[in-house]
Amino acid sequence: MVLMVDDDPDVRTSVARGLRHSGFDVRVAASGKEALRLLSNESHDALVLDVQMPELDGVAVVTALRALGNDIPICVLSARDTVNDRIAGLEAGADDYLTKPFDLGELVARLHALLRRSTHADRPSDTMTVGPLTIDTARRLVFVAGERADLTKREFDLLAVLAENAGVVLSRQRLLELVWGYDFDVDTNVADVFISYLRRKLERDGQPRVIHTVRGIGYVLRDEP
Amino acid sequence: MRFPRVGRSASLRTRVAIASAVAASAVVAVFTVLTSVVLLNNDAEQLDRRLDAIVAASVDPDQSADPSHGVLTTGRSRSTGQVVFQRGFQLPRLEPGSATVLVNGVEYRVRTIPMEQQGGLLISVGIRAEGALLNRTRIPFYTGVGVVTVLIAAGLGWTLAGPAVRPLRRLTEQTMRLGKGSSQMAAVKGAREAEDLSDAMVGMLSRLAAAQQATTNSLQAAQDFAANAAHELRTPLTAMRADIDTLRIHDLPAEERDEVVGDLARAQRRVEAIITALGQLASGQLAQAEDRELIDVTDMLDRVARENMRVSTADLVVEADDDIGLIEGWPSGLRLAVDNLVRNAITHGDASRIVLAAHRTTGLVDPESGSRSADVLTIIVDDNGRGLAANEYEVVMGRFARGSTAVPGGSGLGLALVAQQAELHGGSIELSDSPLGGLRATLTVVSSPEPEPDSTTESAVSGESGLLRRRASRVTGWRSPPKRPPRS
Repeated sequence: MVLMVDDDPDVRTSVARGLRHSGFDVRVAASGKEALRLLSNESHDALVLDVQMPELDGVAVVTALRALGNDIPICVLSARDTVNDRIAGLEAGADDYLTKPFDLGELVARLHALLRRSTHADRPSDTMTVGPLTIDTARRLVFVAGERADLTKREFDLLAVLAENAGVVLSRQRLLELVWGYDFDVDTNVADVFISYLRRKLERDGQPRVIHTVRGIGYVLRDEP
Repeated sequence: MRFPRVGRSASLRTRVAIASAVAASAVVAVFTVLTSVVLLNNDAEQLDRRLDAIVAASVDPDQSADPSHGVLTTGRSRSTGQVVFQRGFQLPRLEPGSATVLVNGVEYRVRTIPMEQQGGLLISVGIRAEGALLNRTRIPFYTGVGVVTVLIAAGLGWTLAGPAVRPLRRLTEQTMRLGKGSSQMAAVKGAREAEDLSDAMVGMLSRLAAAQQATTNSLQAAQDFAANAAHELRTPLTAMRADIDTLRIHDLPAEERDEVVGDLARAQRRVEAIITALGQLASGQLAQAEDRELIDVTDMLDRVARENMRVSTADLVVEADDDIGLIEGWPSGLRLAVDNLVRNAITHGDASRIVLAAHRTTGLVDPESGSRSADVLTIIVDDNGRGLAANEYEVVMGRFARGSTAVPGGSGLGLALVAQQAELHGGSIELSDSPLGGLRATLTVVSSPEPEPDSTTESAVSGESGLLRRRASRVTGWRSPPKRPPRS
């Protein structure tokens, strides 16, 4: 069951109808407050959330949900096409974003993938070390030079995939497939956005870069430059 | 910015003058002391010499004395010039009076007097003329003193000029600091010129800062507006895109299909409405004074009522006073404002009865100057709809703001446009509860004057004075209104 939250009735109606016709069981909410109320009453499988809403906005909803330990997949809808990678909501813990107006098929495909992913996110319990990084997959903890780094769920998944393939260059497409489950052609820079978030968190306090860009190909996690 | 100072600071000129005076005084004082000492010593030396001479003359007058202390005396016969007697070296023959002569390389000051002894004598008495004060050997000493004095004067000048021009230095430091981040300049105190300059600079800086702030603010406002407008357009476009994708991907049954197409059409109209409103907002912003015309308000209200009744089931009534007359303004703008109020009542208030009332409030005469304030035209739109919560009266005036009870599909700009037009026409818009049960919108417009070609007395009597016109032109820079035909 998918919850669609948008303060605009036209968007709410049209997107929810489109999702319904695409086979989803859709509930709608007109505000952040209503969304939180519905989510606390009943368990949902995914959340499509407008960022810009009066009173309780999308970022606040994501923050509240993640603080409560709810790791429901969230796709935020952003109305601003900003070129910078600070997509409101993603840093708070959302999983993906779409810029309004978006292709309905795109949203449907991503929701399917996110729903699949959330059901089997297990990976072998292990502790990996790359340079100053220690990744404890069992407890989902990351330490940078002994200091704990606070990562969102999706950031952790991305780092874990990079660590499992340490030294191997992974393309954006491969990352989208391994981390988001997007095994279809998808036009998004969400992987790059999350890489930039990870770097910001891992390179704090002057730590050396461990996630390197391989131009034209993708990204690689390794100790030496 | 500037506060009156208690006891103005001395000017830089005064400070420099005082510094020079102090320096000069110091030099003069030192020199005076020095000179006094030298003169005192000289006096004593002179006295000593005179004493030596007296001693030499009285103790052993016959002995030829030491030429350095001695007194030379030479007596000559007045008639022959023969030396009659002599003590010490011989002095040359001299006429009565005083003279300075050189004897054996030493200068002597000689006084020659005639005497009536031994058949007339000329007695010359000479003592060493070498002065204690005027002495070649002392020239280096005096030169040294002169040089030292000049140096002292220069040093004093340097030391004293420092504090004198300190305010200028402080001003310079402050100004240099400005370049390094700090935009605030502390006022400099001490010298009037520096204070004036500092005040002028502080004033200039604050003006610059204010201008910069204004530019930043308007840029920020423009940016916000552009972002808001983009967001507003994206929202219906998102709905449209979803609807189009739904139609494209799925083969819907006819009635669902019709529903989607209906929604599509509505969203399309919404985009259109936003674009229209944005255009109106822009043209309101760029309203030209030349485009002002005389508007027959009653006629305009009638037309708004008629046209809205044609497209809706609401009952519209116009209750305008008889003396409304004409006002000067932008006809399309004012029409748009009233139209938006009526449409809001119909669309968002779901009103079935709307009353458009208008009345003119005559401007008050100022007893002092005899000038009149402008007449105010009030247009009231009352409806019996569902009204609006009082705490939303202000909020809904904002751009892209919608009331909580608003029907979807609006541009969010309707009341913002009304507010813009009200301001353009020198008035205001206020919302309140209506006696009909719904919402009351009170739009006031400053009525422009009836152009009176001649005297002010006539215009004062007629109630629409030329003064008003002047006031309006002065305030807004509008050109004077065109002549209108006299009212019958």
